[in-house]
Amino acid sequence: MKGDALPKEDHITRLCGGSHITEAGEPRATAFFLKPKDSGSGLSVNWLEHLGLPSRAAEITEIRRIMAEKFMKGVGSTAILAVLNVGQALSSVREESADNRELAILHEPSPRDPSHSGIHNYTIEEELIAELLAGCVLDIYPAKEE
Amino acid sequence: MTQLFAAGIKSHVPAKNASTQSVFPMLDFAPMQQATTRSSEQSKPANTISKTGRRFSVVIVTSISAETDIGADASPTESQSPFEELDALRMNGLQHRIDQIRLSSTLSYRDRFVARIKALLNAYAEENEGRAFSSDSLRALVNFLEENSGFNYPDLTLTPSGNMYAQWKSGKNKLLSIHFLPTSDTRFVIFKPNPKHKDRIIRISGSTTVDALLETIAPHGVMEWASL
Repeated sequence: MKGDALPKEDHITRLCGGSHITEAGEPRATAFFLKPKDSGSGLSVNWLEHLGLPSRAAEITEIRRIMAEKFMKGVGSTAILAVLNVGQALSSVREESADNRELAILHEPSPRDPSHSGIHNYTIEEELIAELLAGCVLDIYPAKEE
Repeated sequence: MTQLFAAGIKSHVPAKNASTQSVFPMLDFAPMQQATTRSSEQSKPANTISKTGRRFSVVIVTSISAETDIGADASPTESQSPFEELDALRMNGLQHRIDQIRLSSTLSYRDRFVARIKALLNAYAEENEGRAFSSDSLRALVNFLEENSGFNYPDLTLTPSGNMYAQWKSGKNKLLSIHFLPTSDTRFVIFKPNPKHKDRIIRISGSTTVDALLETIAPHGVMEWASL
């Protein structure tokens, strides 16, 4: 249901544009920075298990399809999808931030993007929180089909 | 095909998808060149004085559609909005600054640095409807690196607002990240080992002006992993 917290054992993916990726191909904290327009809606991510597909490969394929539809001008040629575990991301930020920050990762579906979710409770000026989230990336995939 | 990074990230991205790949592989500074050559109206040159007092010429392009820049949907015959004109001016200013770096910077890794900035320019334009990132942020970064030549070549990325973000990292417990704001202010993050508990990490964040940055961060031992 809209606004529900995602299960800790589940996974999210974040679309990381090419300007947030190092020369070696790793996503950096800038991929987890909020934009000014995100201040109320949180950082956009997708809830993979919500898709109900049998494998990670199938989930990634579906996310690519959704992203291609969502961004009319297309996903960037060098963009990647970064996968994080929900519970690990929440506990990393809670345990490693100075104020034991409790982030919230909430389901915020839209008709065209039913797995859409948001990471809440940090601000555009909190680079340290973005660094901690970047440190939780488990896997990366090209955001466009080969 | 799977590659494991030092940070423990499992990569399923083929090497050809690396972020240095240009979306305009045949052209240097492709967005500006395409824009100026496809313009349907005349461009007018203007003389400008930079913040450093240097006089330089820029070309104010008055009629470039978003499509001529990066393949967006607007018609090439539509006149530009003031915002689009500002974007074109910013792109020209940024490319002029990159040329200055290429020709006269004292950075020991100048060529690699310029190549990286061009790749970021392409990636940012592709993600942001042809817009340029912040020239003032780039100036702050370059001034900092030139005045503090002991720093290694950094990992460079851009924030969503188009500011430079430089990072020096060694393993999971040694990290220095600096966000160069266009105002000559900076925000920084430091991770360093806890000297009393080897398995623990001290995490520090703060902000200061770029001219006071080194004296603020150096006491935290960052040069141990950020220096040449």
